[in-house]
Amino acid sequence: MGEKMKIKRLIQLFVSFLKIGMIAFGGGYAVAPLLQKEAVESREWITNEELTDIMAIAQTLPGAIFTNSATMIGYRVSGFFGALVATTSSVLPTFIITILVTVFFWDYTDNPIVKKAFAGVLVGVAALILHSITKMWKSAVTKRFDILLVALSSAGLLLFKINAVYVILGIAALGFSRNLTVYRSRREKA
Amino acid sequence: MTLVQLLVSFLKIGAFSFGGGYAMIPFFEKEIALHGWTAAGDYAKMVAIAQIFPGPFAIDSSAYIGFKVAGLPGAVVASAALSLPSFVALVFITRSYVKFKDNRYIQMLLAGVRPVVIGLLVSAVYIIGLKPVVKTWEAFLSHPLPVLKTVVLILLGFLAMMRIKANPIIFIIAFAVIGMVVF
Repeated sequence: MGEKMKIKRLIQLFVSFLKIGMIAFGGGYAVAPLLQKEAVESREWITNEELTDIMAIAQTLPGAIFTNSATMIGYRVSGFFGALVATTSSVLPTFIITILVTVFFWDYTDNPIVKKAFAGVLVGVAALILHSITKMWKSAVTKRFDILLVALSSAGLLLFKINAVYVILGIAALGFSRNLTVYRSRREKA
Repeated sequence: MTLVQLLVSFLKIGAFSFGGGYAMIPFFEKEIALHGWTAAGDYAKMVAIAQIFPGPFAIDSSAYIGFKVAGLPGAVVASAALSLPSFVALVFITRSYVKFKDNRYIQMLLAGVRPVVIGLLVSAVYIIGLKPVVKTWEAFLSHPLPVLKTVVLILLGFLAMMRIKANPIIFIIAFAVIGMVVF
């Protein structure tokens, strides 16, 4: 690939992910159709199967699905710099909007009516989170043992106020050892 | 010094925030409380505002907290530090992603840690929905109405989402209006 072609691809990545970043409302999997249209159909950077894999991996790793997908698609299109450009441009619109709002509009949020609206929005967000729990339950909880892990992590976070980092490490250790034990005992039987 | 503190905290959040999105709320909340970065309730306000913005919620939170603590450099450091751990991991994974996807032990680890996302979301419901209205047990017993109102509205909203699968943006705007009327 020529130098000119490389730079052209980086610019394309920048423009595409900036565009998606500006219209990616709703978060999480809501970005899937936008990525499909841009990266699969318009630019033909990846196939639909690859996008499915990318979304699955992006979901399992820490961080936002959209940013993680941008890193992976960027890397596949143009290596390390592709990943860097795609990741940066994917977060740029949100970053700029947040700074602008914090600088220029924060004081207006003390208005009593605005405060009430925010209180309402937070209640709505709590309802949305409850709803996403029901959607994620099927992929997160596949065995009876997983219900115990859900209970343990909820209790650790809410009742005992344990730092989420330690909760994750503890649950990861428990979950991994359990899966390993099941795998070993199955292999011995077979 | 503050920038170093931001760097360390957000690298940590970036490395451990499995589940992304709302599941990150407990992490941000913990670091804010630990370092006293913003006034109580300010971060919840940011969560509310972020609902009407496009893009990853994690970046809204990082840019906001970073900016409050150390201005524009703080916002840049926090957002970059948050994104760095998964960026590095994903660059390596993408290089050999077929191998990664099918590795048995990685599968065991990822399946093992997945249930914790539900726990993080349960915790987020409390932090976002209930913590702003539940101050102390005594206050709840003498003035139970705001808490009860909130619980009922959360459940109604949840049932509405299950039934009609509303567009989240319209749903959020509806709740802003409900808030102005009810609270």
